[in-house]
Amino acid sequence: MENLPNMSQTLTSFQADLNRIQTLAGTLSQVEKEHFKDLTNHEDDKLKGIAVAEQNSSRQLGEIRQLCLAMAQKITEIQKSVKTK
Amino acid sequence: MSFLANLFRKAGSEVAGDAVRTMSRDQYTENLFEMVPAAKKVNPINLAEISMRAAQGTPLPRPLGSHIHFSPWEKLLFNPVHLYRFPTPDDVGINTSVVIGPRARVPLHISIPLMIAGMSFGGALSKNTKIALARAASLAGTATNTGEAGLMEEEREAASLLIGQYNRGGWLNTPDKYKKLDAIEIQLGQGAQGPTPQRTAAKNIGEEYREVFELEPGQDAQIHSRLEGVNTREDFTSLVNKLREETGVPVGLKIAATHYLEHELQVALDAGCDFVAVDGAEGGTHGGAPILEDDVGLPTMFAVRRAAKFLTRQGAAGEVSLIVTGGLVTPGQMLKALALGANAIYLGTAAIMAMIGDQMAKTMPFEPPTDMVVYTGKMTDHLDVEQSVHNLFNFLNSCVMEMEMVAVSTGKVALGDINRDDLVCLDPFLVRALDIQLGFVAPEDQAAYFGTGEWMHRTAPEIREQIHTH
Repeated sequence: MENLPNMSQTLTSFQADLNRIQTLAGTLSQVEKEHFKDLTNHEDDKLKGIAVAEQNSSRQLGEIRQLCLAMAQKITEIQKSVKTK
Repeated sequence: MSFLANLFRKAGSEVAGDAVRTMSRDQYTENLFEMVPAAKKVNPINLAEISMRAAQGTPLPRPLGSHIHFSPWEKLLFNPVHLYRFPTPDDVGINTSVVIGPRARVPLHISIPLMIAGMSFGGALSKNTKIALARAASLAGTATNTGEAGLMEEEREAASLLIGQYNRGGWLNTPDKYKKLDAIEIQLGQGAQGPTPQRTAAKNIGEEYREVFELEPGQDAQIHSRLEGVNTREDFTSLVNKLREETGVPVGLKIAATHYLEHELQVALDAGCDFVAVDGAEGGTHGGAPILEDDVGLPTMFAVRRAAKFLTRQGAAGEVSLIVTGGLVTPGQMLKALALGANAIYLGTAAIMAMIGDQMAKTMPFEPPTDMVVYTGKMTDHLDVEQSVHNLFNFLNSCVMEMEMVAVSTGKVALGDINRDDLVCLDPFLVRALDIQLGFVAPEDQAAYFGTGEWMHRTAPEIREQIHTH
């Protein structure tokens, strides 16, 4: 795999994309959390239902963020391993 | 209206007055009140089951497991922090995700530590119920479980993450089926029934059931006590290796909790299982004999602690996931099980109750609410699938949010970080069994309270006697 052309650049590019995704997921997670707070201020069952869905989305976006961070870390390890070989 | 109300009130008063007078004057042996101490002696459940046994002559298929609360979860409390450690700041999200089988080529990632327990289509639940469970689990970012059944395509489509039980009926045990799963659970027993054989009579098997289970018309659905082809530990190891090799997904073992737990888990570790699912004595079922539910197994609380301790001792904690199930119905109980060492929880009874919560009125007062969800129920067509999905999704979300509150209160940023140090115990015997400090005295006074070691090392009956004497 280390003999692939532009291996290092490809990994760097993947890492940059993952960092971008994790930033977006983190931001969206915060936005969804705020939506949950706003929507639960209304005495309306439908809005409450949407609020719970937003809260759940916030949690899952948080999970995506964690997964991206873990994958970016793995890429760093792969890059180090490739360089030492 | 007022006239009628007064009339009923007067009639009620007359009847009650007459009943009280009769009960006061009649000899005890002729007195209807005799039923009260008699029912208290035998207890109403046993009384009803004595009558049922007398009428039917066969073991009773009691739904939803034992009514006995074996695990004293109320004896454990979480420790909030203020200055000693600080609570988690408001703007920090609590990590609730879990990886099941991290050693597998394709581990199972779930967003919350709660999953839907194995409850089979046909043997237990209706098709609509299974689909509702799968849809709600998918919305919450978690997995559902086939139970001991064949692979129902509609369930597979509705579930973003599906754990399938490689079962003792043999209905899911072919590559064309198990290769479609996200994790494989080799089912050798369950909390409510152990490894006892079970049979669904052909008369209770409809066309779709036959199709999913690939049964011939007139053929019973039989769950055997042993898994076909697994008669030695080596057979089990070969099976685990084969499934791991062929699929790459986590392969685990599900058993009923037992006093032989550590021996059973050692075999699972030797075989290379990616996860173990331990079902405590409080585990539910669609219908199990009361003796199996009330008198067989090991309570969930002790099962989780013993299993977690064993995995740690063997250096497998963190590599082999521990899933625990059996009678966990409140978020507090669920989180305590996680704190004792479980990585994730299966919910069965609570998930079913959550689904039908506001639909119960449809069956009352002549049929039980579960009649809407069990395969053989008379009112399965009354189940509102959309409402059921909504209810269960809300329930899961609500439980996790409550658990997150405790994480903040204990100063943790992940549910998985909460452990035994975040608990205090209100029972001296449990303190020893669970390795949790006693809440009666300060941490530095624990040894003095228990008599600096020597007292602590006596056997449980001796301690019991000593406390009784004092």
